[in-house]
Amino acid sequence: MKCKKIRDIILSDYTDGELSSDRQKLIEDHLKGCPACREFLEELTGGIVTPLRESGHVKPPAEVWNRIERAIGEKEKSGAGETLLDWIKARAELPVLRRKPAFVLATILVAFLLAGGITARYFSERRGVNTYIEEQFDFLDSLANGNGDSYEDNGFSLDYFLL
Amino acid sequence: MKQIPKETILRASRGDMEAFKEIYDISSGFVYTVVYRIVRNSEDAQEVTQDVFMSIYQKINTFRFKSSLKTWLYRIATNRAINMYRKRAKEKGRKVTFEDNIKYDSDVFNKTAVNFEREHAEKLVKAMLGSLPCEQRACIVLKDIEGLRYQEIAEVLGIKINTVRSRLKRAREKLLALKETGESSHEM
Ligand SMILES: [Zn+2]
Repeated sequence: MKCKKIRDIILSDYTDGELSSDRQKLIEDHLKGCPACREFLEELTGGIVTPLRESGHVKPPAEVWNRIERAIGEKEKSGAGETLLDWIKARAELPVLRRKPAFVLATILVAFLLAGGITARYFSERRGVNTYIEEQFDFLDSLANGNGDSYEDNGFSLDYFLL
Repeated sequence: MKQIPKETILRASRGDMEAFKEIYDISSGFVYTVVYRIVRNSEDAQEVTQDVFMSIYQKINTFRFKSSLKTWLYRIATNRAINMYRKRAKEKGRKVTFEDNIKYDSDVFNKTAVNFEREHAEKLVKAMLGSLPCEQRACIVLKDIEGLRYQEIAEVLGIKINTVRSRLKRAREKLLALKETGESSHEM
């Protein structure tokens, strides 16, 4: 293999321990005979990967937990819990909503119609509707995540519709 | 990382505050680290971390044990951090680029700075992460700081393994190139 190809592998799979033992051995054999690639590896490991690996975890300040505890306490006290609108807003963070807002709005509409159509009892107990729609969202989200990058194409949010 | 016992998750999902605190104690270190390394300032990192745990508190009863809680936590934390970073970048009315960070911190790339005093090491890490675009930075954080496997990173970010691989590769190429520029400009 050429040095260029070897270095491509060093930059990812080799450094990250993702190679099969055969492929790993192939790279190591090359390194034994190639000082230039050895130097490349040392620079990558010593100059870049090791400092990142050694940087370790940063602990959040204690106030963070205090604020969480307080926020939860307030939420519980206010009692009523989330409204359906809160619930939809919370789901507006799902990546699928950013990517395909029209599709999702249509789905929400259909979900409501279905939920209403199946039985009126669902509407008398909001929780049931929520769970049902939640499952649909999980499903949509899993579909959306199956096809490619989540972060490349956003710039649109359902928040604009709901606020 | 210490594992979060299933029983603790179940208790937390019934609203047990003590169990929820246990989950926080085990996971807040890595959640905060991932968020902090992506958003790159502690104020936003605290806000996002709080938001992440509030969201977990509210949704933990929908957790189905299909993936690990750890993956779920990484996923929420990374997504929220990226969103916060983007929001801030938008507010500034421009993309936070690469060059901005380099001008600011270029001297930490020189060799004496890499001589591993803690402070310099931290400066170097900040400068490196700051010179990467957000998507590449998230991958580097999950890989080099958190030690996740490609498969796990792909799940956390909702991208293909090959995308993980190419982002890591491009990120490291960029960091190597920067390091070289830093070193040569220092020698001049
Ligand atoms: Zn070579």
